[in-house]
Amino acid sequence: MTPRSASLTLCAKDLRQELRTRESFTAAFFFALLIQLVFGFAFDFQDLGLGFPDVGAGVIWITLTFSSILSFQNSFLIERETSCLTALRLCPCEPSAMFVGKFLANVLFVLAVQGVVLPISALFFSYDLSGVALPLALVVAVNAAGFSALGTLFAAVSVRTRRSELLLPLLLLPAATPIVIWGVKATRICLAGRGVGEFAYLVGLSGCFGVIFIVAGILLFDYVLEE
Amino acid sequence: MERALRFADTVLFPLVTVLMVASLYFVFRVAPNEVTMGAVQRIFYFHVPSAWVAFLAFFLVFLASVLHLATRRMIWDTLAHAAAELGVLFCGIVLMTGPIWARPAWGTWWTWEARLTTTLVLELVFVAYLLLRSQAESPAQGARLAAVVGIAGFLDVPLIYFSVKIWRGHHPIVFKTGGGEGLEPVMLQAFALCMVTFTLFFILLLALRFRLGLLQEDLAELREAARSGRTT
Repeated sequence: MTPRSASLTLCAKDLRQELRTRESFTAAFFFALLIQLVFGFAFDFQDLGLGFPDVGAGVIWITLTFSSILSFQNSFLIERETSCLTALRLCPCEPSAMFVGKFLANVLFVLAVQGVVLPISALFFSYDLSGVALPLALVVAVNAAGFSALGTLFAAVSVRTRRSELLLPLLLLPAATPIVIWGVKATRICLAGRGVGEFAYLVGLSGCFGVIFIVAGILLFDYVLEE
Repeated sequence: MERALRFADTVLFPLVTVLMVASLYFVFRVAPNEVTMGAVQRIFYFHVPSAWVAFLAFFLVFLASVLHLATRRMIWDTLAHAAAELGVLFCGIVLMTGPIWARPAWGTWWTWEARLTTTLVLELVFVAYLLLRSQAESPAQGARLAAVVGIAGFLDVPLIYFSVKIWRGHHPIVFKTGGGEGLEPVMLQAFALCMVTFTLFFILLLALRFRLGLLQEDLAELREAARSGRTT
């Protein structure tokens, strides 16, 4: 099995599993909605007269980071529960290919959740997304990829420990600082509708972050899977 | 190895003791009061060396992690663990002394400046690293997982610093570290002395913590042997 086909097979397996159970999507989606709800209560946007361009970037990125953690965790917990991790290790393919497969599945997953949640958050603010849809999709996709690269690696690390649920957010959130900062900043520019140069620069930086941690994941994943 | 560790006891320990007393003397008696900031400026003789030592420690975690993954020797993992603990300790000192100075000097306990924020994020990354170690199922596995996080965490350092810098935009430069310009020669001497003292102090603590780690491993092995009924 070539690394590429192994990655794609694993990714397809994860997606198929999710399509059949819809466990992870449902959980991440409703968690994301709940975050919006808490946001609504915590910052009384209507009374304060805050619109989506003011706070939208914050809402989007807090929702994305926290709900994605749920998905990353789940992508490895399902393997652990039925000892599938052992089976995966026995596969005649490179561990790095497994990382890529899991990473791809996670990115698609995060984007699927955001694809539904983002329009809903705009709706809560009565904001029309159609004007900024393309650049916004670009920021979310690039940053979600970077976040998923680090998230996939750290989820694999934390799932091998005793209290994986506790550990992943603690490991991932501080390390993902650059993604959160660049994501928020680029989103804000995008919603404000000006500053094309800076926008491209920030998205490029997030892309670099993604590349660095995809490479790191490919190189290090072998050590994580080892018994 | 044994000889190196004994060196810590016989030479380094008395040396650091003498240097620490000398540093305190220099900081509080020899170095003059800073004109604008007054006595509180003296905190920097400890603050900056602690920051340097913390970064040195995190770099050591990275190096030892790479060596552990490359050679599989547990000794590197013990070193990484020791360095990470000390890094968190010294980083904590930086985060505590900083606000004490900032309050009278800048009029605020905290500001989201690039260097401060990076230090805080780094502290959190390595606290998570230590938590991970305590949650591992076996020492060998814990060592490997920790090495992965240690490497990823260190790769992240420049990215975090850079990102926070961008986030703050054109923040006014509030103060310059290290650079000798404007620093009185006596102040510079005190500062240099503190840098040397703290570096040696760190090496001493590292040696002690490293030895403790080795002893803990020996103890775990003996326990294991006792449990399985073997005689060693």
